[in-house]
Amino acid sequence: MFDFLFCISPIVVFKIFGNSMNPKYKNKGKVLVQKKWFLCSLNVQDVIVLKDPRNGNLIIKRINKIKKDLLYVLGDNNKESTDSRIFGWIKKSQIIGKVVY
Amino acid sequence: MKRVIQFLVNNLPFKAVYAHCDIPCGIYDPTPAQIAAHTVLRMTQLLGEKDSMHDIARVVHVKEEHGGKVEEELGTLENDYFKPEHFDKFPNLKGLLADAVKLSIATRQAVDIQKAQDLVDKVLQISEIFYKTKNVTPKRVPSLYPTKGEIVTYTP
Repeated sequence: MFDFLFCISPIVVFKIFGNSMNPKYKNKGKVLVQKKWFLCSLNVQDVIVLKDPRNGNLIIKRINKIKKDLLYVLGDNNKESTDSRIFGWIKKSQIIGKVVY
Repeated sequence: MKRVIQFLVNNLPFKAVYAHCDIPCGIYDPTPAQIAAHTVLRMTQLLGEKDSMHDIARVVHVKEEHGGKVEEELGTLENDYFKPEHFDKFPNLKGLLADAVKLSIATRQAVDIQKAQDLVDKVLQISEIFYKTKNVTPKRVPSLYPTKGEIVTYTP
């Protein structure tokens, strides 16, 4: 039931686990995410939740570059982040949504 | 409005999202790669000494296994430990890693002592850089393995 509601809800809450988005988004902090279906646009510097292209886990990163349908994402804390430096450019279809709060 | 949003964030059910470095355990070490590279060299040497098909099959199997292990260990260092500033400070690091992976493949494809020796040498050079990034002084010492080569350790 929760998964179904999560799926259809335009805005969802995520709890962060890890330090790769320090200092702004801290370990165990929560963020409000607007689903991609309801987004007007995505811009460089937006923080997004996306599927890790390697294993499908949900991860949070900041958009560093945009190239047509591809995004290059980085963690704010680059010393403790696994991001596009490791797994390369990601497709927009892998995005879950944008952090709005 | 801000209060409403804060209320939602605090009270809505949530899902986990990860912001980590593939578990940032911080435990990285070039020693397994060195042992695996020496094993590849030793197996290559043994292939010139063995006659029975059974022994050759076993030796080839171990050579394959440790060639893969060199690749895996170097991949972990490259992807999880070495950071852009390390590659900036040691401009030859990227090339060394690429060459070592190529050699780990070449030593599996053929029985070539020289390539196996080159593989050990590249892994030792990468190990030296690793210790330099840890701000300790790398030191080459005799390996005491039948390969009679060296391994890299460090002095604090």
